Amino acid sequence: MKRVTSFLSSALAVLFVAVSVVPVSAATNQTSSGGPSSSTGLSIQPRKNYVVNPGQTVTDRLQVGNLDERAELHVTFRVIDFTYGGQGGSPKLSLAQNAPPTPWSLRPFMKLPDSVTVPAGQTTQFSYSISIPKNQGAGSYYSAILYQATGGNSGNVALNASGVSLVFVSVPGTVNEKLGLQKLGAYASPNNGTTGQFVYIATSAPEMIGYLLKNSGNVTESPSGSITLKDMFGRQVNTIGKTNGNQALALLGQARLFTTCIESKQTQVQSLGGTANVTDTSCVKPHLFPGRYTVSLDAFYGQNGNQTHEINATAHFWYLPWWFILAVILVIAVLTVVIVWGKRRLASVIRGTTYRTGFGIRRKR
Amino acid sequence: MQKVRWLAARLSPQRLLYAQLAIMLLCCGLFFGGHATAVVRFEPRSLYINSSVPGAATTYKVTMAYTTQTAVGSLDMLFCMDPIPYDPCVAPPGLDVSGAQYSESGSAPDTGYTLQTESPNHILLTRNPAVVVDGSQVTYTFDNVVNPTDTSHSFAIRLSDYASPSGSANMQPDGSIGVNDLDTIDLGSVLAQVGEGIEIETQVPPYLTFCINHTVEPDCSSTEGEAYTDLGTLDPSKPLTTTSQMAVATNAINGYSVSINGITMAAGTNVINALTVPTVSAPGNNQFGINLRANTSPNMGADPDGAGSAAVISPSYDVPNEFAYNDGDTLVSADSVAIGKRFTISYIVNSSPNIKPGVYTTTLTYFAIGNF
Repeated sequence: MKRVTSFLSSALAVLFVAVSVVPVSAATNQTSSGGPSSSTGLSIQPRKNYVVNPGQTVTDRLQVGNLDERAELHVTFRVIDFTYGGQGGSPKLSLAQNAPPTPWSLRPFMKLPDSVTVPAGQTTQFSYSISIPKNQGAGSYYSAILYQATGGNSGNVALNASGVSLVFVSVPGTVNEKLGLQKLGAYASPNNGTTGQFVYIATSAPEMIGYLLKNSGNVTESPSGSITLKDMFGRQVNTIGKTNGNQALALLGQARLFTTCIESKQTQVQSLGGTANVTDTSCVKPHLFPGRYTVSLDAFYGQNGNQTHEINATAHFWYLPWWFILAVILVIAVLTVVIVWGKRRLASVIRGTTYRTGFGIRRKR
Repeated sequence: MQKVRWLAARLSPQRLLYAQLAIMLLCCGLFFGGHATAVVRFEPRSLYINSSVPGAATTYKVTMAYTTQTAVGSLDMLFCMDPIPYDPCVAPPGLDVSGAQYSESGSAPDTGYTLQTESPNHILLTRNPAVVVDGSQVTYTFDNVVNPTDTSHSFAIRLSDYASPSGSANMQPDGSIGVNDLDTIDLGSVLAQVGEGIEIETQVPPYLTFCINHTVEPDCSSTEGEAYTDLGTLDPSKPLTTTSQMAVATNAINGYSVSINGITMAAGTNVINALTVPTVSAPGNNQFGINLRANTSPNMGADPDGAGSAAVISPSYDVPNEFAYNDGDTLVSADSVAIGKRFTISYIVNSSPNIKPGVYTTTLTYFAIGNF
């Protein structure tokens, strides 16, 4: 009996110790209040550009900032490929783990750490290198560095935040450059060029000019030039000096849309003698009269040491606001009435005579 | 009466037709008449810069061929941000050609120039006029040219040649020349751009900030909650809803995009269908979708707020009370500098009465990417 009691007491003691060591997890709530257990706020450098000769290695540093003042930021790195997602500048990421490298991939040439931990509210730098092989051909190569912040991993809907830095490398030498113009004209957009379409007959004054260039070469291209807008009498309405003010790129194989304001808030303010806010690049309604307009594009592109190419093109569009169309219809209607009334009046006068073609006028007797 | 007779005789159908044709031709000439200008370019032409480091003294090589075979006394090279010769010239910041040393390679009579520096961004090569060779390439080399310091924009050298050894008499004080300038023989521009150094930059580097959580501040200075949420038990009579917030900002001139990746709600092989097009919430049907607007049915979410005006929501996620989800979709984009803006993401899940039991979950990854 004593042995049983002793045994039971020992077992209970062991059980007590075990229970007090093992943590008890709370039932899952809808959402927890208070700060996060790990940061999901980060600051990165969005883009890096390099010129690297074959056989050369460049080493650089990138910064990762932890925006959260309370929690650490755990970031893992991965190099992924990307291409264009459409006619705009938003990249389309290749996220599959075993995705084959693109012809322009930098994945085989880049080395960077696996992960980094950034203390709360701090910024950390990490080194990485790009080694271009000796026999690498000239052209453009690009990939992206993916910063994966470890966020939620439970609950019905878990959220992760990731930043992406685009890395572009230009290997100098003789390259194949070819930009072909596919479209040019007035461009109607409700959101400063993010979406929209070309218009030939515009019933409200178009705010933008757009041109579509197809890149069939082996280098990314950023054309530069100007656009001239003339009315139907040949008078210059406006000259847009920066046709690619953001230095947007046309990736390999992409038909890239470049848009520019006919009149921007910046130029409007500057023309009035003010100082424009450089962060506001929105368009304003241009002062156009109804009629036919001619758009002339003069764009240049060319890589270092390679031939400079020039694109010259002309297109037209009509600006016919509804009030103008109604006014024209009204004028035509009035003229028609006047002419018909006039002819009938004349005919009635003639009927009072014996006029016949070829026989002259003889008054009826 | 005589006037009436005269008018009646002249208002014959044939004459009316001729009058209409004449008016139409006049209108065609007025509306469709073009203004042709002849432009002769140096072809081919290229520029090689030995070093693209901003502010570095380096060698520039301009290679070109004359197109018009005529007597040339001077070759003008004007360094500008804009390659168009008819536009005012803005000198590239930091560029300085005043210390340039000149040499040339090619054959006479395309050579034989001496260097005359007009200003920190203007070079004039001058000589006794001689007839150039059409199509023969010549290279003009300039050592000790200081590169511009602006890495965000390309710059150009505007080339033009003249019969006079003094260059153009018609060049405007702002560096532009007239479209119909009779002095100019051939024209052409070459482009270049300096690259970013890999040392620490002296100017503010581009940055992209991004945060996501249950609630966030527009400038990401703080976030609240956890990066996950439990929706509860699926109910065919009403939608399960939740929200999260994200904030994005960049000072990069190309702006940014935010995309979303992840599969729809799933429990093993059983999935709740994602709404591929914007669709209203319909309890009793398997639906998973999100939007970034304030909704009234169900009552949740908020419109974007914050100072940034350049960011726009993609059309599929910009309709109140309609929800969509496609893996890899771009949710938000800005095409230029965009100061902090906060977006509230509304999630809905509807289920049919005969949905297979299980714990349905999804992990959504939001990517903030600088545009190119």
